[in-house]
Amino acid sequence: MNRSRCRIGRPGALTAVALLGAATVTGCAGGGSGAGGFDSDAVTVAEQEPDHLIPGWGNGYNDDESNALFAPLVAVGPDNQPVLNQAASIKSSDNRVWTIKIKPGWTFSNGEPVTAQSYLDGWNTAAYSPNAWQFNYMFANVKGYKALNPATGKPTAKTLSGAVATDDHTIRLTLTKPDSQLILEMAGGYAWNPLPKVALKDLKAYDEAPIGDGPFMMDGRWEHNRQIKMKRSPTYAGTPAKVTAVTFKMYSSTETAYTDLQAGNVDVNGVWSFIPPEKLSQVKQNFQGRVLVTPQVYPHWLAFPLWDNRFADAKVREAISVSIDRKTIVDKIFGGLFEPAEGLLGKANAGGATGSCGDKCAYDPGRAKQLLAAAGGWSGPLNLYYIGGQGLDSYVQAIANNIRQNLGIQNVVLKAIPTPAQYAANVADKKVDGPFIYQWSSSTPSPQDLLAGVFQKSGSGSARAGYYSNASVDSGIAAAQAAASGSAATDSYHRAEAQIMADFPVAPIYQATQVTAYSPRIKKVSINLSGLDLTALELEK
Amino acid sequence: MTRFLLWRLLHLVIVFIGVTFIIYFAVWKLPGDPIRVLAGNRAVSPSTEAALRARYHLDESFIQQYFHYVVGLLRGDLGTSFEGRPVSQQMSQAWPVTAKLGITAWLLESILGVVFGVVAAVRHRRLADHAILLVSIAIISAPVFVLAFTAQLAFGVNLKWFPVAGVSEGWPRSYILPAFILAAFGIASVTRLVRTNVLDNLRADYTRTAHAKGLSPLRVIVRHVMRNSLIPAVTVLAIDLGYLLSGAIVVEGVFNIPGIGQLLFTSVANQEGTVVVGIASILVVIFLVANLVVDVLYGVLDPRVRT
Repeated sequence: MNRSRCRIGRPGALTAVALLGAATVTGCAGGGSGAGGFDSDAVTVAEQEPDHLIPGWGNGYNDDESNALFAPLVAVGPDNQPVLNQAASIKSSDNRVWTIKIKPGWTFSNGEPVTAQSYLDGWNTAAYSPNAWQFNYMFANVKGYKALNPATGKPTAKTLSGAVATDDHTIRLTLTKPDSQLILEMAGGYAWNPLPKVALKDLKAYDEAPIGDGPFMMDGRWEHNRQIKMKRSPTYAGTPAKVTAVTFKMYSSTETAYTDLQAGNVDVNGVWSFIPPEKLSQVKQNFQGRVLVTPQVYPHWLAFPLWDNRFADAKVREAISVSIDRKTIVDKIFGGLFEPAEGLLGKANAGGATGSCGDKCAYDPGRAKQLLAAAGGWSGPLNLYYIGGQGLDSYVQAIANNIRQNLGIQNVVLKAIPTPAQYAANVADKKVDGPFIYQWSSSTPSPQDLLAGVFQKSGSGSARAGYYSNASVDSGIAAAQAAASGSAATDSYHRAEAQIMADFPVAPIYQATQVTAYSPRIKKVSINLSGLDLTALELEK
Repeated sequence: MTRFLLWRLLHLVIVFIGVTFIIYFAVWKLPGDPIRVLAGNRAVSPSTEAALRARYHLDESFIQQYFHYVVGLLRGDLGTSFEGRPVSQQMSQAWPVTAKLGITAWLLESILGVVFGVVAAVRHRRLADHAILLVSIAIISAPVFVLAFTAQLAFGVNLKWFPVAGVSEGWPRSYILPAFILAAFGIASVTRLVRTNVLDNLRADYTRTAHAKGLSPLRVIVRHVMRNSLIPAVTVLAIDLGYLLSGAIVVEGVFNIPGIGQLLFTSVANQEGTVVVGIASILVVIFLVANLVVDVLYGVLDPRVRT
């Protein structure tokens, strides 16, 4: 009796679970969008999910989306020169008090006119410390910033006293110290965009579907981790885009984005969905030449733990540097698409590249051995640090092989640290005891961003150069910023760069470029320092 | 039975509290600084950093932070990620995706596993048996990401039968390929398990009796042998359902499926403690409930385990 009940019971239970499963599945099936195929004048762009869409708020992974939604005051033009865009003029007699005139007749996509006040609203929101925007520091040099960002206690003001609208289309911007680089920083800088009134009511809600003054407008809300759909904005006052709509598809893995690009399911990779390093040597074959390589300010270097006595002698650092065959590494590992470093600044910087590294970046195994011998040789293991799981293994392996072969240091140990967070913490806390790789990317052509960011003592990225500091470099960078003319500024930056390379805290290895692969549907794609220029994108007819 | 259930529910509560504490502590102890990660390429200004630390209680001790978390939890608030998005909202977007993927995989695993297992046993030491054995050994020994990338290239890029990645084409098209990869290991295990049990039962006395009674071979296998052989498979499948619903980091990553595995992975990398603890807590509940269901099933099936 009992047994027979059990027998019925067992398969019965299985069926019940299976039915439950089936019911849930059919219940879910209705949710699929069923989208497929292409709209003839729409493009899809592979991206990495940004944390915010408002340009000044997030970590900067929203460049392409920002470029679509907002029109900059100053755009980055061809040859990385600043080109006035929404600004009619930006003028100053002393680089300290600036008069910014904006073109009348521009509107946000909801019809609200873009006025001087719209800009002030954007800047004040970004600069107000309780909002905790990442690009808050962009306004650190504006008069009144301290009142919004006190060292302790609550802010005493909500607006920057140095930013005033003198009429509907004119802003007087007063800085605490002169800045020769202001226009360059605005070009490709985050957080200089205007905000419409609706944004100020509820920033979080606005961030889900920002209303901007750019060539595109949101088409629906941000579908997190999936996609952001935009359509061409009919109210845009600049040159309209040729494509009618754009969908940014979010990928959590650049490998997957690459595969999807290869399969033709996405048209182009955005600046944050870069080609994975291990695919660079095959990308031109995979895309039959449909690859655009754009110079960037994106130097990668080998930094040294300057807190470790074994690296105190500049000859040791130089010996390691000249033992590295940059040309071969770039050719073999990065498919020749990057540029072997000849200095810190690159050709995308204002003032161009200088070749400041000179002999110290030239591959010379003989000299490497001599330098190391002159410094007293090397004993024990040499640890090389990098972030694991980012496709950098073969690059670091190649450096290690060069050091082994050319310096005779047999015990070169690769130390991969699992996440960027842990890596940054280890470096910042001086817990690495060997050379470590690092990089810096600028979205502005101004040399200030790299030099002050990494090589000035107060730089936020100072740990990336082993906390290098030299008073004459600091004052040289400050002098460049205070310079009266662009050429005087460039000269000062170049002198500071030469001094850094003379001290040699880091060995520049390569200057990365932006590699963009695109589908056969695309005729022309354009990239500059601030990201993808969707207004210049053209489709094949 | 009631006492048994109550006892198990009490277990569930204790394990739940203990696990959230341990995970919260583990994430808190991770080297690195979430605010630094948040800033991306460059450091934020000191005032921004201070504002962020105060907002997320990062300037307080671990016990205080955990206390804030538990208080929020009791009010039904799972907290907010450093990006400023509610954890409950992030999870409510990710779970349905993982559920679709997991249940699809589970159905594949149940159906194919049982069918292959029975076929292999019935065709014992013949071609079908050997073929199934070989394929299942190959699948068990291949790393998941190798299977995933291979399937993606073969069926997505070259044959174009299924989308390469993403869920934009909805269920089932977007889910079949990743679900199959996710289920592959399970299919192989269930196949091996069912095969062994069917083989044992084919040799059992009652099977011989059934044959002797003159029942058709098909009826003997379906009505007698399979019923008894599926009991261990039911246990494995019930536990597997919990596992499949918990998100698959590798498969979701390779196929760009915005499910719970992907959310968990990025949250660990970005040190989003509240998100990690939120997900882990619910995972614990899923596993505990799955185990409870298995135990109750046993209790129903076998009165001896009821205590």
